[in-house]
Amino acid sequence: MDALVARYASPQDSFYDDDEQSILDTRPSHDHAFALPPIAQPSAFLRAVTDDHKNPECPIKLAHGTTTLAFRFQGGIVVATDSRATAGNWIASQTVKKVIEINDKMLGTMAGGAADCQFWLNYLGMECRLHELRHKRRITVAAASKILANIVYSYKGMGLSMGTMIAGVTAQEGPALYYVDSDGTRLQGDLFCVGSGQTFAYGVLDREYRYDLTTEEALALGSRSILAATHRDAYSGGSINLYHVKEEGWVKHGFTDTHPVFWKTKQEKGEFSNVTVDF
Amino acid sequence: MSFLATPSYPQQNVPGGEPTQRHGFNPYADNGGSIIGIAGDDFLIMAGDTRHTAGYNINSRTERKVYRLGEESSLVLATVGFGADAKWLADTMKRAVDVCFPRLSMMKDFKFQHNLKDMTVSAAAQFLFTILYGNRFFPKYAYCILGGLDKNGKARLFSYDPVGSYSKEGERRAAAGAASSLIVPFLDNQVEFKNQYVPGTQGMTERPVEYLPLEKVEMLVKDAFTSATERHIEVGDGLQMVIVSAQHGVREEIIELKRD
Repeated sequence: MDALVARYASPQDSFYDDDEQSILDTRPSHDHAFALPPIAQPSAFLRAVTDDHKNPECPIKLAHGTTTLAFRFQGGIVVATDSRATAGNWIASQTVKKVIEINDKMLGTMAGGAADCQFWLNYLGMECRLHELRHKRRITVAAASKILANIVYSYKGMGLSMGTMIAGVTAQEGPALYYVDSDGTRLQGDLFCVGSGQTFAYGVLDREYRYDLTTEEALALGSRSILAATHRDAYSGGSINLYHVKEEGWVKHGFTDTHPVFWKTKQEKGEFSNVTVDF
Repeated sequence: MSFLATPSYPQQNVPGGEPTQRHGFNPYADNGGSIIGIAGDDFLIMAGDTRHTAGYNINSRTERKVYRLGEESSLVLATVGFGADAKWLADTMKRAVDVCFPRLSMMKDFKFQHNLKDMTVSAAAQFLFTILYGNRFFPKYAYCILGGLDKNGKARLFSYDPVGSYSKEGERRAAAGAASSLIVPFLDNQVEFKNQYVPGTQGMTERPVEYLPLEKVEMLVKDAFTSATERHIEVGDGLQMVIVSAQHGVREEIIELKRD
Protein backbone atom coordinates (compact mmCIF):
# COMPACT_ATOMS: atom_id res chain seq x y z
CA MET A 1 0.00 0.00 0.00
CA ASP A 2 2.77 2.43 0.99
CA ALA A 3 4.54 1.61 -2.23
CA LEU A 4 1.43 2.43 -4.20
CA VAL A 5 0.97 5.73 -2.39
CA ALA A 6 4.60 6.65 -2.92
CA ARG A 7 4.26 5.87 -6.59
CA TYR A 8 1.25 8.02 -7.25
CA ALA A 9 1.65 10.79 -4.69
CA SER A 10 3.49 13.88 -5.79
CA PRO A 11 6.61 14.20 -3.64
CA GLN A 12 6.14 17.95 -3.30
CA ASP A 13 2.37 17.86 -3.08
CA SER A 14 2.35 20.47 -5.79
CA PHE A 15 0.45 21.26 -8.96
CA TYR A 16 3.63 22.40 -10.65
CA ASP A 17 6.68 20.40 -11.64
CA ASP A 18 10.05 21.11 -10.05
CA ASP A 19 11.17 23.76 -12.52
CA GLU A 20 7.91 25.68 -12.33
CA GLN A 21 7.86 25.34 -8.57
CA SER A 22 11.37 26.77 -8.28
CA ILE A 23 10.28 29.79 -10.32
CA LEU A 24 7.26 30.30 -8.07
CA ASP A 25 9.26 29.81 -4.91
CA THR A 26 9.38 33.26 -3.39
CA ARG A 27 11.98 32.60 -0.73
CA PRO A 28 15.37 34.14 -1.55
CA SER A 29 17.68 31.31 -2.52
CA HIS A 30 21.09 32.66 -1.59
CA ASP A 31 22.96 29.41 -1.99
CA HIS A 32 26.28 31.07 -2.76
CA ALA A 33 29.18 28.66 -2.57
CA PHE A 34 31.60 30.70 -0.51
CA ALA A 35 35.11 29.33 -0.14
CA LEU A 36 35.99 28.61 3.49
CA PRO A 37 39.38 28.10 5.11
CA PRO A 38 40.00 24.46 6.11
CA ILE A 39 39.98 25.09 9.85
CA ALA A 40 37.57 24.65 12.75
CA GLN A 41 36.66 28.31 13.16
CA PRO A 42 36.72 30.25 9.89
CA SER A 43 35.34 33.39 11.55
CA ALA A 44 38.23 33.56 14.03
CA PHE A 45 40.66 33.22 11.16
CA LEU A 46 38.88 35.91 9.19
CA ARG A 47 38.95 38.27 12.15
CA ALA A 48 42.66 37.65 12.64
CA VAL A 49 43.52 38.55 9.06
CA THR A 50 41.05 41.32 8.28
CA ASP A 51 39.92 43.11 11.44
CA ASP A 52 42.26 46.08 11.75
CA HIS A 53 40.25 47.45 14.69
CA LYS A 54 41.23 44.55 16.96
CA ASN A 55 44.55 43.82 15.24
CA PRO A 56 46.22 46.84 13.62
CA GLU A 57 48.91 44.61 12.09
CA CYS A 58 46.42 42.48 10.16
CA PRO A 59 47.63 41.72 6.63
CA ILE A 60 44.41 42.43 4.74
CA LYS A 61 43.08 45.90 5.43
CA LEU A 62 39.55 46.44 4.20
CA ALA A 63 38.09 49.85 3.50
CA HIS A 64 36.23 51.32 6.50
CA GLY A 65 35.17 54.64 8.00
CA THR A 66 32.24 56.66 6.81
CA THR A 67 29.50 59.12 7.41
CA THR A 68 26.14 58.32 5.87
CA LEU A 69 22.71 59.72 6.67
CA ALA A 70 19.14 59.52 5.50
CA PHE A 71 15.95 61.11 6.77
CA ARG A 72 12.28 61.13 5.95
CA PHE A 73 10.42 64.39 5.32
CA GLN A 74 7.19 65.46 3.63
CA GLY A 75 8.80 65.55 0.17
CA GLY A 76 10.35 62.09 0.33
CA ILE A 77 13.74 61.01 1.69
CA VAL A 78 17.10 62.72 1.58
CA VAL A 79 20.13 60.45 1.44
CA ALA A 80 23.61 61.92 1.85
CA THR A 81 27.08 60.44 2.31
CA ASP A 82 30.72 61.40 2.30
CA SER A 83 33.07 59.64 -0.14
CA ARG A 84 36.23 58.72 1.77
CA ALA A 85 37.55 55.16 2.13
CA THR A 86 40.28 54.49 4.67
CA ALA A 87 42.41 51.43 5.40
CA GLY A 88 44.08 52.11 8.72
CA ASN A 89 45.47 55.64 8.41
CA TRP A 90 45.76 55.38 4.65
CA ILE A 91 43.14 57.19 2.59
CA ALA A 92 42.41 54.54 0.00
CA SER A 93 40.01 56.72 -2.00
CA GLN A 94 38.31 60.11 -1.88
CA THR A 95 35.75 59.27 -4.57
CA VAL A 96 33.81 56.28 -3.28
CA LYS A 97 30.15 56.11 -4.24
CA LYS A 98 28.54 55.19 -0.93
CA VAL A 99 25.00 55.48 -2.20
CA ILE A 100 24.13 52.24 -3.94
CA GLU A 101 21.36 52.37 -6.50
CA ILE A 102 19.43 49.16 -5.78
CA ASN A 103 17.04 49.96 -8.64
CA ASP A 104 15.64 53.22 -10.05
CA LYS A 105 13.26 53.65 -7.09
CA MET A 106 15.30 52.48 -4.12
CA LEU A 107 18.63 53.45 -2.60
CA GLY A 108 20.95 51.80 -0.13
CA THR A 109 23.85 53.37 1.74
CA MET A 110 27.24 51.90 2.36
CA ALA A 111 29.02 51.81 5.71
CA GLY A 112 31.39 49.12 6.94
CA GLY A 113 32.87 46.72 4.44
CA ALA A 114 32.62 48.19 0.95
CA ALA A 115 32.49 44.82 -0.79
CA ASP A 116 29.87 43.46 1.64
CA CYS A 117 27.55 46.39 0.97
CA GLN A 118 28.12 46.29 -2.77
CA PHE A 119 27.59 42.57 -3.07
CA TRP A 120 24.52 42.21 -0.86
CA LEU A 121 22.75 45.36 -2.03
CA ASN A 122 23.40 44.24 -5.59
CA TYR A 123 21.93 40.88 -4.65
CA LEU A 124 18.99 42.65 -3.02
CA GLY A 125 18.40 44.48 -6.31
CA MET A 126 18.07 41.11 -8.00
CA GLU A 127 15.62 39.85 -5.37
CA CYS A 128 13.55 43.02 -5.74
CA ARG A 129 13.35 42.54 -9.50
CA LEU A 130 12.31 38.91 -9.03
CA HIS A 131 9.62 40.08 -6.60
CA GLU A 132 8.31 42.46 -9.26
CA LEU A 133 8.19 39.69 -11.86
CA ARG A 134 6.49 37.23 -9.54
CA HIS A 135 3.92 39.58 -8.04
CA LYS A 136 3.49 42.18 -10.79
CA ARG A 137 4.04 45.03 -8.36
CA ARG A 138 6.91 46.86 -6.74
CA ILE A 139 8.33 45.47 -3.54
CA THR A 140 7.75 47.50 -0.40
CA VAL A 141 10.76 48.96 1.38
CA ALA A 142 9.72 46.97 4.45
CA ALA A 143 9.92 43.70 2.51
CA ALA A 144 13.16 44.60 0.74
CA SER A 145 14.90 45.58 3.96
CA LYS A 146 13.69 42.38 5.60
CA ILE A 147 15.14 40.26 2.78
CA LEU A 148 18.49 41.92 3.42
CA ALA A 149 18.20 41.62 7.20
CA ASN A 150 17.40 37.91 6.92
CA ILE A 151 20.39 37.29 4.67
CA VAL A 152 22.90 39.07 6.88
CA TYR A 153 21.38 37.39 9.95
CA SER A 154 22.00 34.02 8.33
CA TYR A 155 25.69 34.96 8.08
CA LYS A 156 25.85 36.28 11.66
CA GLY A 157 29.21 35.78 13.32
CA MET A 158 30.91 35.06 9.99
CA GLY A 159 32.50 38.49 9.85
CA LEU A 160 30.25 40.46 7.52
CA SER A 161 30.44 44.16 8.30
CA MET A 162 27.74 46.45 7.02
CA GLY A 163 25.55 49.26 8.32
CA THR A 164 23.10 50.24 5.66
CA MET A 165 19.97 52.31 5.22
CA ILE A 166 17.35 51.29 2.68
CA ALA A 167 15.32 54.23 1.40
CA GLY A 168 12.36 54.21 -0.95
CA VAL A 169 8.96 55.75 -1.49
CA THR A 170 6.07 53.42 -2.30
CA ALA A 171 2.34 53.93 -2.71
CA GLN A 172 1.57 51.68 0.30
CA GLU A 173 4.15 53.10 2.69
CA GLY A 174 4.89 56.64 1.55
CA PRO A 175 8.48 57.59 2.28
CA ALA A 176 9.99 54.57 4.08
CA LEU A 177 13.38 54.29 5.68
CA TYR A 178 14.98 51.24 7.29
CA TYR A 179 18.31 50.70 9.00
CA VAL A 180 19.82 47.25 8.58
CA ASP A 181 23.18 46.14 9.93
CA SER A 182 25.29 43.00 9.88
CA ASP A 183 24.36 42.12 13.49
CA GLY A 184 20.86 41.51 12.13
CA THR A 185 19.34 44.73 13.49
CA ARG A 186 16.49 46.10 11.36
CA LEU A 187 14.86 49.35 12.44
CA GLN A 188 12.26 51.56 10.86
CA GLY A 189 12.69 55.26 11.52
CA ASP A 190 12.55 58.90 10.43
CA LEU A 191 16.23 59.67 10.63
CA PHE A 192 19.45 57.69 10.78
CA CYS A 193 23.15 58.49 10.66
CA VAL A 194 25.62 55.60 10.30
CA GLY A 195 29.38 55.38 10.45
CA SER A 196 32.35 56.77 12.32
CA GLY A 197 31.07 60.33 11.73
CA GLN A 198 27.48 59.55 12.76
CA THR A 199 27.55 61.50 16.02
CA PHE A 200 28.69 64.69 14.30
CA ALA A 201 26.01 64.32 11.64
CA TYR A 202 23.32 63.61 14.26
CA GLY A 203 24.31 66.79 16.09
CA VAL A 204 23.55 69.00 13.11
CA LEU A 205 20.64 66.96 11.79
CA ASP A 206 18.72 66.73 15.09
CA ARG A 207 19.06 70.49 15.61
CA GLU A 208 17.33 71.48 12.35
CA TYR A 209 15.19 68.46 11.50
CA ARG A 210 11.43 68.80 10.99
CA TYR A 211 9.14 66.53 9.00
CA ASP A 212 7.67 69.50 7.09
CA LEU A 213 11.01 70.69 5.70
CA THR A 214 10.83 71.93 2.11
CA THR A 215 12.84 69.95 -0.44
CA GLU A 216 15.47 72.71 -0.70
CA GLU A 217 15.81 72.90 3.10
CA ALA A 218 16.03 69.14 3.40
CA LEU A 219 18.77 68.83 0.77
CA ALA A 220 20.71 71.70 2.36
CA LEU A 221 20.40 70.06 5.79
CA GLY A 222 21.62 66.69 4.50
CA SER A 223 24.59 68.34 2.87
CA ARG A 224 25.38 70.48 5.94
CA SER A 225 25.26 67.47 8.28
CA ILE A 226 27.75 65.56 6.15
CA LEU A 227 29.95 68.67 6.00
CA ALA A 228 29.99 68.83 9.81
CA ALA A 229 30.99 65.17 9.99
CA THR A 230 33.77 65.49 7.42
CA HIS A 231 35.07 68.46 9.39
CA ARG A 232 35.34 66.67 12.75
CA ASP A 233 35.80 63.01 11.76
CA ALA A 234 39.17 62.26 10.19
CA TYR A 235 37.81 59.03 8.71
CA SER A 236 35.20 60.96 6.73
CA GLY A 237 35.82 63.36 3.86
CA GLY A 238 36.14 63.74 0.12
CA SER A 239 32.88 64.78 -1.49
CA ILE A 240 29.24 65.10 -0.47
CA ASN A 241 27.04 62.67 -2.36
CA LEU A 242 23.43 63.84 -2.24
CA TYR A 243 20.22 62.08 -3.33
CA HIS A 244 16.50 62.80 -3.07
CA VAL A 245 14.12 59.82 -3.16
CA LYS A 246 10.60 60.45 -4.43
CA GLU A 247 7.76 58.14 -5.41
CA GLU A 248 8.69 58.52 -9.10
CA GLY A 249 12.19 57.39 -8.26
CA TRP A 250 15.39 58.90 -6.91
CA VAL A 251 17.13 62.04 -8.17
CA LYS A 252 20.85 62.69 -7.80
CA HIS A 253 21.83 66.11 -6.49
CA GLY A 254 25.52 66.12 -7.16
CA PHE A 255 28.83 64.78 -5.93
CA THR A 256 30.41 67.93 -4.49
CA ASP A 257 33.95 68.34 -3.16
CA THR A 258 33.76 69.33 0.55
CA HIS A 259 36.68 71.76 0.40
CA PRO A 260 35.00 74.62 -1.53
CA VAL A 261 31.68 73.89 0.22
CA PHE A 262 33.36 74.34 3.60
CA TRP A 263 34.86 77.75 2.76
CA LYS A 264 31.64 78.88 1.08
CA THR A 265 29.65 77.90 4.20
CA LYS A 266 32.13 79.71 6.43
CA GLN A 267 32.25 82.88 4.37
CA GLU A 268 28.60 83.24 3.38
CA LYS A 269 26.88 81.98 6.52
CA GLY A 270 29.52 82.89 9.10
CA GLU A 271 29.53 79.31 10.43
CA PHE A 272 32.68 77.44 11.53
CA SER A 273 33.82 80.68 13.19
CA ASN A 274 36.28 78.64 15.28
CA VAL A 275 38.28 78.06 12.12
CA THR A 276 40.89 80.73 11.46
CA VAL A 277 43.52 80.94 8.76
CA ASP A 278 46.27 82.36 10.99
CA PHE A 279 48.27 79.79 12.88
CA MET B 1 33.19 17.23 1.40
CA SER B 2 36.16 15.03 0.67
CA PHE B 3 37.77 12.84 3.31
CA LEU B 4 41.03 12.92 1.39
CA ALA B 5 41.38 16.65 1.77
CA THR B 6 42.36 16.60 5.43
CA PRO B 7 44.43 19.65 6.40
CA SER B 8 48.06 18.82 7.05
CA TYR B 9 48.28 21.40 9.85
CA PRO B 10 46.92 20.90 13.37
CA GLN B 11 43.26 21.75 13.92
CA GLN B 12 42.59 24.73 16.13
CA ASN B 13 40.23 24.46 19.08
CA VAL B 14 39.92 20.67 19.21
CA PRO B 15 36.79 19.65 21.16
CA GLY B 16 37.68 18.98 24.78
CA GLY B 17 41.02 20.72 24.47
CA GLU B 18 41.94 24.18 25.71
CA PRO B 19 40.57 26.83 23.36
CA THR B 20 43.58 28.58 21.92
CA GLN B 21 43.79 32.25 21.02
CA ARG B 22 46.74 31.83 18.65
CA HIS B 23 46.17 31.45 14.96
CA GLY B 24 48.68 28.94 13.70
CA PHE B 25 46.96 28.91 10.35
CA ASN B 26 48.64 31.52 8.19
CA PRO B 27 48.09 30.86 4.51
CA TYR B 28 49.42 34.23 3.36
CA ALA B 29 52.74 35.77 2.46
CA ASP B 30 53.49 39.24 1.17
CA ASN B 31 55.57 39.06 -1.98
CA GLY B 32 55.99 42.82 -2.37
CA GLY B 33 56.08 44.79 -5.58
CA SER B 34 53.76 47.38 -6.98
CA ILE B 35 51.38 47.82 -9.90
CA ILE B 36 49.96 50.83 -11.72
CA GLY B 37 47.22 51.37 -14.27
CA ILE B 38 46.62 54.62 -16.12
CA ALA B 39 43.84 55.10 -18.65
CA GLY B 40 43.96 57.62 -21.47
CA ASP B 41 41.10 58.25 -23.85
CA ASP B 42 41.65 55.29 -26.21
CA PHE B 43 44.62 53.58 -24.60
CA LEU B 44 45.78 52.37 -21.24
CA ILE B 45 49.02 51.31 -19.65
CA MET B 46 49.20 48.61 -17.02
CA ALA B 47 52.56 48.23 -15.37
CA GLY B 48 54.25 46.37 -12.57
CA ASP B 49 57.77 45.77 -11.34
CA THR B 50 59.24 42.28 -11.70
CA ARG B 51 60.74 41.79 -8.24
CA HIS B 52 59.34 38.99 -6.05
CA THR B 53 60.31 39.17 -2.39
CA ALA B 54 59.77 37.38 0.91
CA GLY B 55 60.70 39.62 3.80
CA TYR B 56 64.21 40.92 3.04
CA ASN B 57 64.92 38.12 0.56
CA ILE B 58 64.61 38.57 -3.18
CA ASN B 59 63.14 35.40 -4.67
CA SER B 60 63.10 36.49 -8.29
CA ARG B 61 63.97 39.51 -10.42
CA THR B 62 61.90 38.41 -13.44
CA GLU B 63 58.46 37.55 -12.08
CA ARG B 64 55.73 39.36 -14.00
CA LYS B 65 52.64 40.82 -12.36
CA VAL B 66 50.68 41.98 -15.39
CA TYR B 67 48.69 39.38 -17.30
CA ARG B 68 46.93 39.56 -20.64
CA LEU B 69 43.67 37.67 -20.29
CA GLY B 70 43.46 36.47 -23.88
CA GLU B 71 45.38 36.39 -27.13
CA GLU B 72 42.73 38.40 -28.97
CA SER B 73 41.34 40.29 -26.00
CA SER B 74 42.30 43.79 -24.86
CA LEU B 75 41.76 42.78 -21.22
CA VAL B 76 44.73 43.09 -18.91
CA LEU B 77 44.86 42.16 -15.23
CA ALA B 78 47.55 43.27 -12.82
CA THR B 79 47.68 41.69 -9.38
CA VAL B 80 49.91 42.21 -6.38
CA GLY B 81 50.04 40.95 -2.81
CA PHE B 82 50.48 37.23 -2.13
CA GLY B 83 52.00 35.85 -5.34
CA ALA B 84 50.17 32.52 -5.26
CA ASP B 85 46.74 34.10 -4.74
CA ALA B 86 47.52 36.72 -7.38
CA LYS B 87 48.46 34.07 -9.92
CA TRP B 88 45.39 32.00 -9.09
CA LEU B 89 43.21 35.04 -9.79
CA ALA B 90 44.97 35.71 -13.08
CA ASP B 91 44.57 32.07 -14.15
CA THR B 92 40.92 32.02 -13.15
CA MET B 93 40.24 35.20 -15.11
CA LYS B 94 42.18 33.92 -18.13
CA ARG B 95 40.18 30.71 -18.15
CA ALA B 96 36.94 32.63 -17.98
CA VAL B 97 37.77 35.13 -20.69
CA ASP B 98 39.68 33.04 -23.19
CA VAL B 99 38.78 29.84 -25.01
CA CYS B 100 40.68 26.99 -23.44
CA PHE B 101 39.63 23.45 -22.55
CA PRO B 102 35.94 24.26 -22.41
CA ARG B 103 35.02 20.78 -21.21
CA LEU B 104 37.67 20.50 -18.57
CA SER B 105 37.14 23.98 -17.25
CA MET B 106 35.45 24.06 -13.88
CA MET B 107 34.04 27.46 -14.58
CA LYS B 108 31.69 27.37 -17.56
CA ASP B 109 33.67 28.95 -20.34
CA PHE B 110 32.29 32.39 -21.16
CA LYS B 111 33.16 32.43 -24.84
CA PHE B 112 31.53 29.07 -25.56
CA GLN B 113 28.41 30.08 -23.69
CA HIS B 114 28.11 33.41 -25.44
CA ASN B 115 28.38 32.65 -29.13
CA LEU B 116 32.16 33.16 -29.23
CA LYS B 117 31.82 36.80 -28.28
CA ASP B 118 34.60 38.37 -26.27
CA MET B 119 33.80 39.32 -22.72
CA THR B 120 33.36 43.10 -22.39
CA VAL B 121 35.51 45.01 -19.89
CA SER B 122 32.54 45.84 -17.68
CA ALA B 123 31.47 42.17 -17.66
CA ALA B 124 34.99 41.06 -16.80
CA ALA B 125 35.03 43.68 -14.04
CA GLN B 126 31.81 42.34 -12.51
CA PHE B 127 33.10 38.77 -12.94
CA LEU B 128 36.28 39.57 -11.01
CA PHE B 129 34.12 41.09 -8.25
CA THR B 130 32.16 37.82 -8.04
CA ILE B 131 35.35 35.75 -7.91
CA LEU B 132 36.87 37.89 -5.17
CA TYR B 133 33.66 38.06 -3.13
CA GLY B 134 33.23 34.30 -3.49
CA ASN B 135 36.31 34.14 -1.29
CA ARG B 136 34.86 36.60 1.25
CA PHE B 137 35.38 34.22 4.18
CA PHE B 138 38.83 33.06 3.03
CA PRO B 139 40.07 36.11 1.15
CA LYS B 140 42.61 36.01 -1.62
CA TYR B 141 45.34 38.35 -0.42
CA ALA B 142 45.70 40.17 -3.72
CA TYR B 143 44.95 43.65 -4.92
CA CYS B 144 43.78 43.74 -8.53
CA ILE B 145 43.68 46.34 -11.27
CA LEU B 146 41.73 45.37 -14.37
CA GLY B 147 41.85 47.31 -17.62
CA GLY B 148 40.72 47.04 -21.19
CA LEU B 149 39.02 48.76 -24.08
CA ASP B 150 35.24 48.88 -24.31
CA LYS B 151 33.33 48.27 -27.54
CA ASN B 152 33.79 51.92 -28.57
CA GLY B 153 37.53 51.65 -28.15
CA LYS B 154 37.55 53.75 -24.97
CA ALA B 155 39.86 52.76 -22.13
CA ARG B 156 38.30 51.47 -18.89
CA LEU B 157 40.15 50.82 -15.67
CA PHE B 158 38.92 49.23 -12.43
CA SER B 159 40.68 48.65 -9.14
CA TYR B 160 39.67 46.23 -6.38
CA ASP B 161 40.18 45.57 -2.72
CA PRO B 162 40.96 41.95 -1.68
CA VAL B 163 37.27 41.00 -1.29
CA GLY B 164 36.12 42.62 -4.50
CA SER B 165 34.89 46.14 -3.87
CA TYR B 166 35.25 48.26 -7.02
CA SER B 167 33.75 51.28 -8.72
CA LYS B 168 31.56 50.49 -11.73
CA GLU B 169 32.31 53.90 -13.25
CA GLY B 170 35.95 52.96 -13.41
CA GLU B 171 38.85 55.32 -12.86
CA ARG B 172 41.63 57.14 -14.64
CA ARG B 173 44.49 55.86 -12.59
CA ALA B 174 45.09 53.22 -9.97
CA ALA B 175 48.05 51.92 -8.03
CA ALA B 176 48.39 49.08 -5.56
CA GLY B 177 50.99 47.12 -3.68
CA ALA B 178 53.96 47.84 -1.46
CA ALA B 179 54.79 51.27 -2.86
CA SER B 180 51.23 52.42 -3.50
CA SER B 181 51.52 55.04 -0.76
CA LEU B 182 54.47 56.52 -2.65
CA ILE B 183 52.90 56.28 -6.10
CA VAL B 184 49.27 57.30 -5.51
CA PRO B 185 50.04 60.89 -4.40
CA PHE B 186 52.27 61.31 -7.46
CA LEU B 187 49.52 60.06 -9.76
CA ASP B 188 46.91 62.25 -8.03
CA ASN B 189 49.02 65.25 -8.90
CA GLN B 190 50.16 64.25 -12.38
CA VAL B 191 47.12 62.44 -13.79
CA GLU B 192 44.19 64.06 -11.99
CA PHE B 193 46.00 67.43 -11.57
CA LYS B 194 45.10 67.48 -7.86
CA ASN B 195 46.30 70.66 -6.12
CA GLN B 196 47.27 72.21 -9.43
CA TYR B 197 45.77 75.59 -10.22
CA VAL B 198 45.63 77.74 -13.32
CA PRO B 199 48.54 80.24 -13.14
CA GLY B 200 47.49 83.79 -12.33
CA THR B 201 44.23 82.85 -10.58
CA GLN B 202 45.68 83.04 -7.03
CA GLY B 203 44.89 79.37 -6.51
CA MET B 204 41.19 79.90 -7.16
CA THR B 205 40.72 77.99 -10.43
CA GLU B 206 41.65 74.32 -10.50
CA ARG B 207 43.56 73.09 -13.53
CA PRO B 208 41.01 71.27 -15.68
CA VAL B 209 41.53 67.52 -16.02
CA GLU B 210 42.28 66.33 -19.53
CA TYR B 211 43.29 63.06 -21.17
CA LEU B 212 47.04 62.64 -21.42
CA PRO B 213 48.83 61.49 -24.58
CA LEU B 214 50.43 58.03 -24.63
CA GLU B 215 54.03 59.31 -24.53
CA LYS B 216 53.28 61.39 -21.43
CA VAL B 217 51.62 58.46 -19.64
CA GLU B 218 54.56 56.20 -20.49
CA MET B 219 56.90 58.76 -18.93
CA LEU B 220 54.74 59.02 -15.81
CA VAL B 221 54.77 55.25 -15.35
CA LYS B 222 58.55 55.10 -15.71
CA ASP B 223 59.01 58.01 -13.30
CA ALA B 224 56.67 56.43 -10.77
CA PHE B 225 58.62 53.18 -10.78
CA THR B 226 62.14 54.62 -10.83
CA SER B 227 61.16 56.78 -7.84
CA ALA B 228 59.48 53.90 -6.01
CA THR B 229 62.60 51.79 -6.65
CA GLU B 230 64.72 54.47 -5.00
CA ARG B 231 62.63 54.52 -1.82
CA HIS B 232 61.11 51.08 -1.42
CA ILE B 233 63.09 47.91 -0.83
CA GLU B 234 60.45 45.61 -2.33
CA VAL B 235 60.34 47.42 -5.68
CA GLY B 236 62.95 47.17 -8.42
CA ASP B 237 64.75 44.95 -10.96
CA GLY B 238 62.47 45.36 -13.96
CA LEU B 239 59.44 47.31 -15.10
CA GLN B 240 56.87 45.40 -17.14
CA MET B 241 54.53 47.66 -19.10
CA VAL B 242 51.57 46.43 -21.12
CA ILE B 243 50.28 49.12 -23.46
CA VAL B 244 46.78 48.59 -24.82
CA SER B 245 45.85 50.96 -27.62
CA ALA B 246 42.74 51.11 -29.79
CA GLN B 247 44.90 52.02 -32.77
CA HIS B 248 48.04 49.93 -32.27
CA GLY B 249 46.82 46.87 -30.41
CA VAL B 250 48.62 45.45 -27.41
CA ARG B 251 52.35 45.58 -26.86
CA GLU B 252 54.55 44.66 -23.95
CA GLU B 253 57.74 46.37 -22.92
CA ILE B 254 60.21 45.49 -20.22
CA ILE B 255 62.61 48.12 -18.93
CA GLU B 256 65.48 47.73 -16.50
CA LEU B 257 65.12 49.13 -13.00
CA LYS B 258 67.86 49.30 -10.38
CA ARG B 259 68.72 45.89 -8.99
CA ASP B 260 70.02 46.86 -5.57
